[in-house]
Amino acid sequence: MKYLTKIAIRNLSRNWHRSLIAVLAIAAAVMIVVFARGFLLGFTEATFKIYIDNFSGHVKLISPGYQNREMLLTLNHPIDGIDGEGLATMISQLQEIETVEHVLPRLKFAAMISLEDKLFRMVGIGVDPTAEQTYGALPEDIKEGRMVETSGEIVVGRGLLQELKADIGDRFTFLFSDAYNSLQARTFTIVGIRDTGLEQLDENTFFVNLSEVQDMLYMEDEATELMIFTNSYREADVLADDIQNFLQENNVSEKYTVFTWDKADPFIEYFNAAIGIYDFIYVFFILLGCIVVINTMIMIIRERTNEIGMMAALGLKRSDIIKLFTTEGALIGIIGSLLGALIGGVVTYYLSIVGLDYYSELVGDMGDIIMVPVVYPVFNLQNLLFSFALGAVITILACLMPARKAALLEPVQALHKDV
Amino acid sequence: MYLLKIAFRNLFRRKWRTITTAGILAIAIIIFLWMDALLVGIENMSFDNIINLESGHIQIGRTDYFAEPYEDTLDKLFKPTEEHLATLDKSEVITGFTPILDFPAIINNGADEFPIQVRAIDPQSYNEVFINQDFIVAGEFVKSNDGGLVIGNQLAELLEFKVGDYFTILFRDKQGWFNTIDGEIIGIMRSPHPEMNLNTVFIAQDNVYTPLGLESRTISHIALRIEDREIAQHYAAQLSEDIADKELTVRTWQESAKMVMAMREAGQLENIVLLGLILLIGAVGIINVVILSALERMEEIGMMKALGLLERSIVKVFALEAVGIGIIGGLLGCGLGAVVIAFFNKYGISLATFGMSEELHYGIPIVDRLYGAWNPPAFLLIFFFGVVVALLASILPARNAARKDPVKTIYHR
Repeated sequence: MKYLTKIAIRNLSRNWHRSLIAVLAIAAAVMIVVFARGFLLGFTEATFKIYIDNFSGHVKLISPGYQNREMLLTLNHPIDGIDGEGLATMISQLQEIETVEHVLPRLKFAAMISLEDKLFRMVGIGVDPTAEQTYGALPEDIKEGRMVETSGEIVVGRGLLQELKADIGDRFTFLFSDAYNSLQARTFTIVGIRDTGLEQLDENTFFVNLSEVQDMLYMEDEATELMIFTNSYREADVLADDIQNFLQENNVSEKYTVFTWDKADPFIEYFNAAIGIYDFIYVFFILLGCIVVINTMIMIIRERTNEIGMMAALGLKRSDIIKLFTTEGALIGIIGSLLGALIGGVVTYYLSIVGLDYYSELVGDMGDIIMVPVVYPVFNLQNLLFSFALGAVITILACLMPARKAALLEPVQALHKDV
Repeated sequence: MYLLKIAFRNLFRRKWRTITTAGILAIAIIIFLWMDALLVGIENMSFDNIINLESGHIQIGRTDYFAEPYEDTLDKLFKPTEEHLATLDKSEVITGFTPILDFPAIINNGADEFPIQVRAIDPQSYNEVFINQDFIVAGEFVKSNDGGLVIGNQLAELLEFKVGDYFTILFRDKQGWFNTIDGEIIGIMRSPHPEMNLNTVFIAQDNVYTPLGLESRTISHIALRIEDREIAQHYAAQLSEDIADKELTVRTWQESAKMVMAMREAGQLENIVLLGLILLIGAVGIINVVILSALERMEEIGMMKALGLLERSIVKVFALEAVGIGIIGGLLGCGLGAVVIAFFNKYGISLATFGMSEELHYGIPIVDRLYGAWNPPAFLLIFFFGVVVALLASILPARNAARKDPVKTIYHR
């Protein structure tokens, strides 16, 4: 084998122009794969994180009736604990489950501000400041001021703040319907500004202390949803099973449903399906690159027909000839993939720092779809290794065909063949 | 001519090589053309739906209303004068026009509420401009002197409304006081414009003036239907002159279709990136072909040079060969692309293929099936582009081959 490898290396250097272009073809394909994977990973992780942090948690627990009416911000399908024992008890029970890391109760309600002649409609979210602090996504997005601490305080989105032409310290009176559908009003002071950088999230939401929302809506110890987190979003399925078991043990599996983050929003579901399709596209790109390698191999074999005949006549076995040419192809594949992974890696690494502004000009017109405007491709070794392996393996497989063709030549005819 | 003949013959010396390399180009072209047909198809269907169900071809309304239609709507209304109407009546291009009063409100089913856009219409003329009434799935469309409300199927599902149920809509009147309209749901519409099925409700104009505290015949805008959507922009400019009212703006359906146009731009960008990547590999393929051919024909080239052929001519032979591959790839790609698109245009694909549904429509105003559309300029453009890429990729390696010393190449072995 070592001997064959040596021949293969010498053969490749016989015409370095030709070898180089074959190597470059594979390198280009692998580079595209590295970059595309890095980009997609960066895009999806960022998008998933937005959905997980703001809407679904790793697993979302709601009442089944709330599922299709979340858009209405209905208060008629709350979570009021197991057998109505109250939310606080239920949360502490949930936290005893081993896989559960954080439980964030949230109570969403519709609210309005009447300012001058205008009516602003917005979504109020009651949050538990201590619980939010442990997870950290919401406190992190508060760019000015601070989190709500006591009653009478709110944190508003940057976009909403601008619309209200307000600033920290200003007071506003909110109108809202309580759980009994009667109109109420309450005055709040702005203590913090939330800025996620995403217009859709910042333009109409504000955050209030959960205990105060429960009090003012007459929903003592209740919430509309629980966002539950485990270590990583990849372990959401395990978490969902554990919670499902917990609900069954307590005979409330009818009363509440749980969703993993990837089922909570149809957009994410679609996104996950699309990622599967991309795997085929990667293979397709490398196959395109392989066509160049195959063409080169065919020419090499034609050029060396006499040589092959001679080697065969001198007793080299068919399997050895296949090995020899496959080794040549493999070297092209390996060097090309290595080069592609390196260049792709450098490009991805660079962009993972500066970011790629792909959508920001379009996002404003895109309506309801929440996407990150600037994508930071993810640079990781796993991606480089995968792309390298994919490139090398496909190239080697593709070379088997011309190599076999070479091995099937009759030694006598091959020797006599005039090129 | 002589060189062309040599190039042509050379093209078929290594059939597999020529075909596979042309194949890479062809694949790039097919993908590009199909994606383009998809985008144009989305655009076409979206435009039709927006025009037929939401905006009409041309709208006339106050400038400040169009600038910010959802804020202080009731202060931005107008009453069309006799002259306005006479101008519209006289026109030969306009096939129908209807006064519309759109205003924001909140609909309530007794338990929950949801923000909506109320479209108060004059039923008779409305149906000359729009086709909403064709999509009634239960009950009937709005008629004059009828207090009933027509809602979309998604809103009906959300609030569990059926035909015959009672609704309340809540809004602020001209003076800023809260007021309501109550009545019966008379019809449910499932139109191919998903947003309308959720956000918009229809009611006869006569029913809203008193509760809104407005004089009758006050409207937010007039919607016009003309013969052809392509002339809308041109005709709108003319109409603007004819009406000559400083307060009023004449605008076209394009204003309502901005989101679709943004989507198209985003799609186009992705398409071009994909095309660029495949062509990159195609270009490497072409370079490969030229290098391989040059190596194979080393002695031939040396001989030709020894016989007096200019370096330039040798480069030309190789370049022509590459152009030949480009043309084969282009024809193959355009031909197969046309077949694919023809099927796509005829049978369409279900939007579910893309993971879309009535609830998840990304704002694209289409439901059910999507059909492609022909876009001949794309064929020409991509064909030309493929040939140029082939040509450009070939020049460097061809020059390299042509520069070889004839003596050395003949004694190559």
